[in-house]
Amino acid sequence: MTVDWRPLFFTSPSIFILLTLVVTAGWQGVALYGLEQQPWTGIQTRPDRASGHVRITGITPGSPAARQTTLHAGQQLVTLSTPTQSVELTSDGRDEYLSASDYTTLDQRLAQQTQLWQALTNTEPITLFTLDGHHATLTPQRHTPIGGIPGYVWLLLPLHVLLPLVGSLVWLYKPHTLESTFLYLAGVSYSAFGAVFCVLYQRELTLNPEWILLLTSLGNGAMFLLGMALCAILTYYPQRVLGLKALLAYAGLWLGLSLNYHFRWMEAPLHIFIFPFLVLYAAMVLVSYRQWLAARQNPVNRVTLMVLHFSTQVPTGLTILLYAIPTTLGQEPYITPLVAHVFIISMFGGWVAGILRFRLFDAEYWCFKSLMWAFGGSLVIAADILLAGLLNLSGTYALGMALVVAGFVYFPLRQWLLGRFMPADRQSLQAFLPTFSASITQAVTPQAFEASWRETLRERFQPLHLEPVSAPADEHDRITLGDNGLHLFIPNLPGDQLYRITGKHLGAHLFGKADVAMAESLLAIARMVSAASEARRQAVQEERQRIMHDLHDTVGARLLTLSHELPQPEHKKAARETLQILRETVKLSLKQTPLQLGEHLADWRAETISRTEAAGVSLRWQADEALEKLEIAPRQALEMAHILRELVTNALKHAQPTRLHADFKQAGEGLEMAISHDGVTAAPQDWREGTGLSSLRRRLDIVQGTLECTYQAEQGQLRTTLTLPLPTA
Amino acid sequence: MQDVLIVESIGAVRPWLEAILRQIWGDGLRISRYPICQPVQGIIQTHCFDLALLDISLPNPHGLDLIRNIRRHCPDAHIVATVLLDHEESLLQAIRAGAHGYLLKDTPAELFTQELLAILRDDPPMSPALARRLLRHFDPVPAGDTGIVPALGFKESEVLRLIAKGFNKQEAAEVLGLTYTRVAHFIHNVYRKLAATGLTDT
Repeated sequence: MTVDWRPLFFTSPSIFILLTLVVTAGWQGVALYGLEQQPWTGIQTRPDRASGHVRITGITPGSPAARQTTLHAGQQLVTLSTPTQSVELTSDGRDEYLSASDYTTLDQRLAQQTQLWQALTNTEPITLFTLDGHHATLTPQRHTPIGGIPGYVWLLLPLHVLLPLVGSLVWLYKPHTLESTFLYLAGVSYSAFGAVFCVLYQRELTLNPEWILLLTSLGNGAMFLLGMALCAILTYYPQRVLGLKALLAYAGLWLGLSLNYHFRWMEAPLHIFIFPFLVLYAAMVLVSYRQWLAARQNPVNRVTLMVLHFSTQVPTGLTILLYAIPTTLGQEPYITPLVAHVFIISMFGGWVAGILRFRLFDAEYWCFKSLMWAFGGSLVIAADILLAGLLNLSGTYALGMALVVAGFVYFPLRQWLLGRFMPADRQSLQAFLPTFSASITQAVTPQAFEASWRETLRERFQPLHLEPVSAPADEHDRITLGDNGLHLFIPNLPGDQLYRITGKHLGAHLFGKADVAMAESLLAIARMVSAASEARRQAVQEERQRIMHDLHDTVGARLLTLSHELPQPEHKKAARETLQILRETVKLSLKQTPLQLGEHLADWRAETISRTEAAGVSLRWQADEALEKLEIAPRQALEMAHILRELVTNALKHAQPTRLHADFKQAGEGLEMAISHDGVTAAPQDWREGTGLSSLRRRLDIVQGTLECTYQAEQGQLRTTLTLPLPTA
Repeated sequence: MQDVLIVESIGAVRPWLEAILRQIWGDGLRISRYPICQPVQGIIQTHCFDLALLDISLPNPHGLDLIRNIRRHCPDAHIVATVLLDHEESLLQAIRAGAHGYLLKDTPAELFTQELLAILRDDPPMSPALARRLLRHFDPVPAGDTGIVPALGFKESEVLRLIAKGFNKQEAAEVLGLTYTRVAHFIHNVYRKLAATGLTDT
């Protein structure tokens, strides 16, 4: 949806990008300033949950610690003393502040940090006691030099600038839309959070406690803003499922939660940071569900939604599994908070792809594969945690067992899921070939081949629609995806037209590269079969035409000669009649297309009218419109023409009628022909079964027709009704 | 009518045709009869006939070539294709070559006479099958075909459509509110249009 934000974003693209860069880079600068302001020992630390103290992860070369002590990575620090005071170093105190579950804990940690801050800033030497009984004394430098800031801070900070930058590019590509605006907002807020996180996480032993408090609240607010922005994107994209007033509610929620955290008006239950997130998460689930319902029958929106969810849930799921659960269980997490941070950043890739609808046609399969990959990995880790935790197995055994268990569960489950969610994709070309060949080999004419090709496409892809479309001539022979995989364009067999099939599996999926490859294989096979059959058909046709022409020239000439030279008039007549039948037979066999009843009706009418007119009899000819397009077998056409001719001859010869009425209509699956006329006739019961009638019956038997004669005394009419079954198309 | 050419492959048909012609125009009529096309090719270079009845199924040279040659050398001659098989494809070729009409060789003599005289009056025959074939022929040109096909007039295609449905000319005239002569004239026009484009064929 489009909203005009022009009054707000008045800028040109370059100024917009520049502004974004300046603001977000400014935050990173502030982060560096924060790190630079801490007293410098050169000892890099992490909380060590196993001992409840602080573990040294590295000593910066050239730092006070490197110069004045023999401390090394891996040692645990227990206590920090100055001549005037002694402070215990605990893992909780070193932990990040967002993990504090209530304000009491938060305050305890802050109190400890205040003591540390005083100890480190009063310019006296400090003594650090390690768990292994050593101690080391050093004098911290008042400020940290730029070179003393750990290396990966320099890697992280540009990454934080990158996110808003990508957000601004997306916004410029899709300007004035709610989704790109909120993606931009999400990028900017994450960049702020990243800066805060960097300072808090990369600090050595402590920072100014006032800063810690402020930064914690700021980081918290930025995270809530990120959550709210994602909520807003899902509310208005791909479809708008709530009104614009929901924006006010989101903004209110965000402000309320952020300010409450800082000013402590009300303590959230369970966890002061995670609980508000659960509220946001619930809102997200709710709007996602509405989006999913709204995207029914709309595969593009469905896949867009899938990409958004996938890119949100995989990183958050992995973070929960690899970081949050082990931390809660008191184990060492599998990943550092830094890696969790990178996971969250990767989320943006998916959101950008979803909003720009980048290669959506590949997304579905790709999502499925990655999901399965993530699932497989998680399964090993989950099994490992369970085995290690419940059975108290050693690390190596637990991991080995976990691999075995995961292997047994993973592969069958993957196959089952693949079959369940992508049933037709799982079916290989070989598996589809029997169905395909059964349908295509029944075809004989090019029309039938084309029909069976369309049927094949319907069968294989189960699209919502299949329609012929016009396209430039140079695109007639290519299979292409359209509208992000909503459509698949496939040529017809002769390659002079395109079919557009829309909405794979009744609109549940998008077409992808695999479908293009499958359609290409099917088309190649169908064309081969059709071409071979067409070549054979043409050869047969040509041969038949040649034989027919020869037959006609020789036998026809002979019959015509006979009709001139035979002495008896009835013999001459017989020769002429035979010649006529020969001609009709040859003409029928020269036809290349299926015989349409309409054309035969026209021929029969022309012949009958010329005869009745010559005899001075008025003809009333009625033929049902519905008969026009029906097919008739060659033999039937031949016999019907002959029967009609005979009936008209009989009527004209014996009854001296004034009018003749021919009526053709559809009777069930067949054709009904009724010939009635007035004139001198006897009632049928008085008829003798002569040669005329019996020859009619014989002809009718050949085409499985029936004959009925009725004498309508009051109208003085004789009515002959014939029915014959027509071939079903 | 003074000078008639008959080229006919079937021996029995030649005297039959001659008898019909003599019945119409009397014994003074000069009739040249040939069983094959070959000798006629030379004759028509210097001599023109008033009427030619040509068997178009003959090979070497083909009956169709003979029609074209006569048409070229004697533009005033009436050319009638005589056929045993009135297959619409070969009739179309004959008309495009320049035939003014066609007659079935096995038509009873009386009817044959009537139809021949009709052709000479510019009232050529038109069967439903031929009408259907001609309607397809004059259909909008499919892409890639470079041949130029002149369009049918509205009335001309209306007449062809009715004939294609099995109406005779008189009925077509009644349906369209025209005289018989007008309908015959439209059909004659269709023949002329076909011949005009067929002349460029070789």
